[in-house]
Amino acid sequence: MRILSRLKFPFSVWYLVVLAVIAVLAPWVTPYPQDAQNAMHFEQKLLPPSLAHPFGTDALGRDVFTLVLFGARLSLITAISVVGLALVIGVPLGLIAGFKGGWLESIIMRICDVFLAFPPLLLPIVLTAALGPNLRHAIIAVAVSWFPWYTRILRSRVLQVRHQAFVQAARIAGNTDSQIMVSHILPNSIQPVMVQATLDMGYAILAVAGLSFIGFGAQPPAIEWGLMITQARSTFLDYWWTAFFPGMALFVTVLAFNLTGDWLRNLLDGTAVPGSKQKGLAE
Amino acid sequence: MIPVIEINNISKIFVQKFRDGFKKKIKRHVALRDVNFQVFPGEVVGIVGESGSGKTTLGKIVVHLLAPSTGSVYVKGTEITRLTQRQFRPLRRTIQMVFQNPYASLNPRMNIREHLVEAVRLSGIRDKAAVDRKIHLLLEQVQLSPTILRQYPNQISGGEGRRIGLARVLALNPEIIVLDEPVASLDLSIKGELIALLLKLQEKRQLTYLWISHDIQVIHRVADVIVVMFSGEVVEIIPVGERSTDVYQHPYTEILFQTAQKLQSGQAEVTFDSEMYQRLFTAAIADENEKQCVYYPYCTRYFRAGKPQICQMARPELKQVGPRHFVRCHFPWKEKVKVPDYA
Repeated sequence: MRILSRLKFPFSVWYLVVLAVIAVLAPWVTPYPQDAQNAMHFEQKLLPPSLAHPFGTDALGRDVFTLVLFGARLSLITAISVVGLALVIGVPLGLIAGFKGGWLESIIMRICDVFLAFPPLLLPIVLTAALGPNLRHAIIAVAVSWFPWYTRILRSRVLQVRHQAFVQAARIAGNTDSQIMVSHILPNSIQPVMVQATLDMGYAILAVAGLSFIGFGAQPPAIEWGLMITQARSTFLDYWWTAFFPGMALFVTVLAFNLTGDWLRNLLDGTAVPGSKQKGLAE
Repeated sequence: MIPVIEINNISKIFVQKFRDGFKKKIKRHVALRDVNFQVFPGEVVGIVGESGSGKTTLGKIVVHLLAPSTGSVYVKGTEITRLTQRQFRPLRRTIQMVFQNPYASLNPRMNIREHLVEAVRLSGIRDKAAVDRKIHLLLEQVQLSPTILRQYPNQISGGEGRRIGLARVLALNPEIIVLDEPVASLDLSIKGELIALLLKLQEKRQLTYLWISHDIQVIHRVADVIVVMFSGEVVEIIPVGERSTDVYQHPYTEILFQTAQKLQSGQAEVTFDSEMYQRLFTAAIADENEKQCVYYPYCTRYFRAGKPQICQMARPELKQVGPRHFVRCHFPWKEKVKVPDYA
């Protein structure tokens, strides 16, 4: 953690940290937490933004500000689980494909090609339609259609690293293949995958929100930004705030993930070696 | 005595497949051709040659990192070239290699302590306190202070890197160590210290060294037998005895020794021989079926002898000319030439 204390975090990282805190503390920091529990107040439906309701209220009279903050929970869980699941599948496959080579590599990479041959959102739609539309299946579907990217990125790095002298030195010392892969190859090849994974967190939120929007993802009464936009479909032409604020939350969060990914990439460009004395001093 | 390493007729051809437009092409590069020699227990065998002469390839074959294209290698009586990684494991700890570049051979994401812990664990010591004790013992043996343990590979100096490379190899209690350029590109004082350290360890632990270097002066100082390589071939094997009575016969060995002597005495001069330059470019790249002496395009002897056809037409055999003394040349110096006497 020595390296962390010396870094200045950009705004996007702070935004994500604050968002995560709010997501955890949503029942305590939102003005109308009962609105997230299916409370309905038809007497105050579709009120424009005001001091009492900063983002207005929706067709059921619920406070949009409260819902947006609660929506952060599902969105962050979605982002982490989609990317996490894709990493769990993709990283071992990429590591093995790059390190072992031969027929094993051919099989793994051809499987990846099959998954990559589908248009980006088509495969998740087909999968959720087949598994049954709910959020968990949407997460699995998106993760399954994404893991080949991590496999490919990691494999290409492993191909570069595996011939380096320290790998040969580790082999000569008597390490087994799996020891070499885990303690020598992986720590030196995972960085581009981590950058990509951070960038993908934003896209994961978008993809799952997209699936929710067309009815294949989160189902009511769950509160999810994509679903909120769907629910606002009939009202947002006259009452813009019902769709605008969940959309903005989505937009800003995706942007924050992208900026964080960019920052991480610049950071890992050569300066990520532990003990580097100077920034920008590439190895 | 039974040789601890026996290298029989080793050749290594690197095959590179590539595409030229739509045509598939294959490029063959002969790294080693018909290499033969033996190493006896407790010996220091020096391998000398210029860059690209196949020294490191030979070292990697001996430690089972590369498989030769043809030929066989016996390590303590076991043929290793056809063994799988798993089958080779019993011999792993016996024969170790210290790599040329200390920075490249250390994992940039592990500190020195982690490197040594890994090596000590692999030697079979599991107990935490015993591992610690062993690490400190190793550091003492390679004359490093324990403060280095927390450093990362990019924070240490070249000399320290060599010592760490040596320490992690010693952790495994090997009998044979292949040293790839152990003292190249170091300050003179550190170089001297490191040579002394290596020889001390060799004596103390009864080690056998395969010492790869391009510096014939260092090799002549430390080795019992010198193997001179040129363009993937062994051109001469010289037994080293009393320094004043050592002899060589191959013209390439002569160039090596004379250059070392000239550098030593400050007589080195810039010579530009345009004819030689021409020959370098017209010389064919070695091919495994090449029927010529690999050295003739550079050979002073060839010119003084009036460009004899045989040098271009026939490949000389490695002939024995004395006890453990072999030469691959059609016209070895008739009278054995004494190794120059440098300080």
